[in-house]
Amino acid sequence: MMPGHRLREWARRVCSEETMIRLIDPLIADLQYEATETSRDPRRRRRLWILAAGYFAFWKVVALHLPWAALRRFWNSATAGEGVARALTYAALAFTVLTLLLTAPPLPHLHGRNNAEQAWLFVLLLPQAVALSMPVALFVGVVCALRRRAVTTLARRTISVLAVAASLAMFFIINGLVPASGEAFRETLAARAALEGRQYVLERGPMELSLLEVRRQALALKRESRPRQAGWLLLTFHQRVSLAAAPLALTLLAFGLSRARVRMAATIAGTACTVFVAWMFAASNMDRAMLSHEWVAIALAWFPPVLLIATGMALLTVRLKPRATGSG
Amino acid sequence: MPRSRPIPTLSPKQSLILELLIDHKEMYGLELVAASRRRLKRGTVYVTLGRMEEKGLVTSRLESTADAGGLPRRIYQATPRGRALLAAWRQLTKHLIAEFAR
Repeated sequence: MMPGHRLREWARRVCSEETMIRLIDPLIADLQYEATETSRDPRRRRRLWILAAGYFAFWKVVALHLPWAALRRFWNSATAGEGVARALTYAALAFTVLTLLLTAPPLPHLHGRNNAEQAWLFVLLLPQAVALSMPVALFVGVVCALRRRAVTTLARRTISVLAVAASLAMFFIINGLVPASGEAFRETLAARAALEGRQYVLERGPMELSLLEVRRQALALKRESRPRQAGWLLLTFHQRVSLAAAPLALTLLAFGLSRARVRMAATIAGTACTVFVAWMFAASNMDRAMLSHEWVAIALAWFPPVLLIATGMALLTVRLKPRATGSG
Repeated sequence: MPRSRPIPTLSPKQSLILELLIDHKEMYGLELVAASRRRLKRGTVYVTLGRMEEKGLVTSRLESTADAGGLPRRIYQATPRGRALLAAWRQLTKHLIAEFAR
């Protein structure tokens, strides 16, 4: 088999025909030409060097040019561009409204000493609000934008990539920003109380601990034979990881809902809601000591995103009946 | 008001490719890289050539025989439009250099 054969097969799956003709095929042809030319060269190192240079050129083009080519293709494709732009617009609107709704109610009760402190306390509330509003906004955006519309694969892929990025951002927000901002919020209020002559001892709760600290504490409690407290912290640990999957799971559900007929969507969503309520009931009545078993905590924490993904998949895989056309 | 057509421009790499193609009549991508004395890189030469082909400055064809079952290589040639643009571009840069040297 000539070198570059597999690379070409792979490239054919991800590149447009034009990119194949203009970029990939000439590169592979050069690689194969050089490999043939140097095959009789006794200097092994030279042969390898030339082959490596050919592969390097290929991957350089893939890394530098292909993302731009994909982006250009995406923007030139009106349908895909419109679909994604619409989803992003709806999501941005929902995000703004939800974040304001979540941060506005506690605002009058913050009582900052001055405007700057009031503004700072408001900023510190934002990460918690964003952690909730981001996945919900993405869900609303996708459902509103794609409902009853033909969606191209390119648009769906782009939204999926955005959802993955949102999930990564969510992980960083939940496990980095939220504990840091929560701690800063408490410290600001404690400092003000100290100025007023009241003293508080600030003990950090699970929400103010980093992800690793939560796990360390849980394991320490388990070693001390305190399974109830250990179980609770283990569940918190796994929930903080599983929550990051929410944007991706909700986007998948939104794809399914935007494609399905109202009655079918209602049936599947209703079933999912019933299962969810049953899970909530079981979880709230469960002995917390059970949670100190790692697998129980994992199962409980990952159940909601898995249920969302399963519901989304069910909606996507159900065969749609052809819509009746004409009214006679 | 009618929209004016954009003035065609040439990047240093594009003018180098055109110069080489006019001097050698037709060349493979790898030959261009070798003749450019490291000013063209084999990882980017086809990106530039692709853009030039889109603009109609160069044209390409596949070689008639491929060695030992490999893919046929692509041979590039400057088009009359490419030649005209290079000539105009050379004149323009010469004029601009003279203007700025004053």
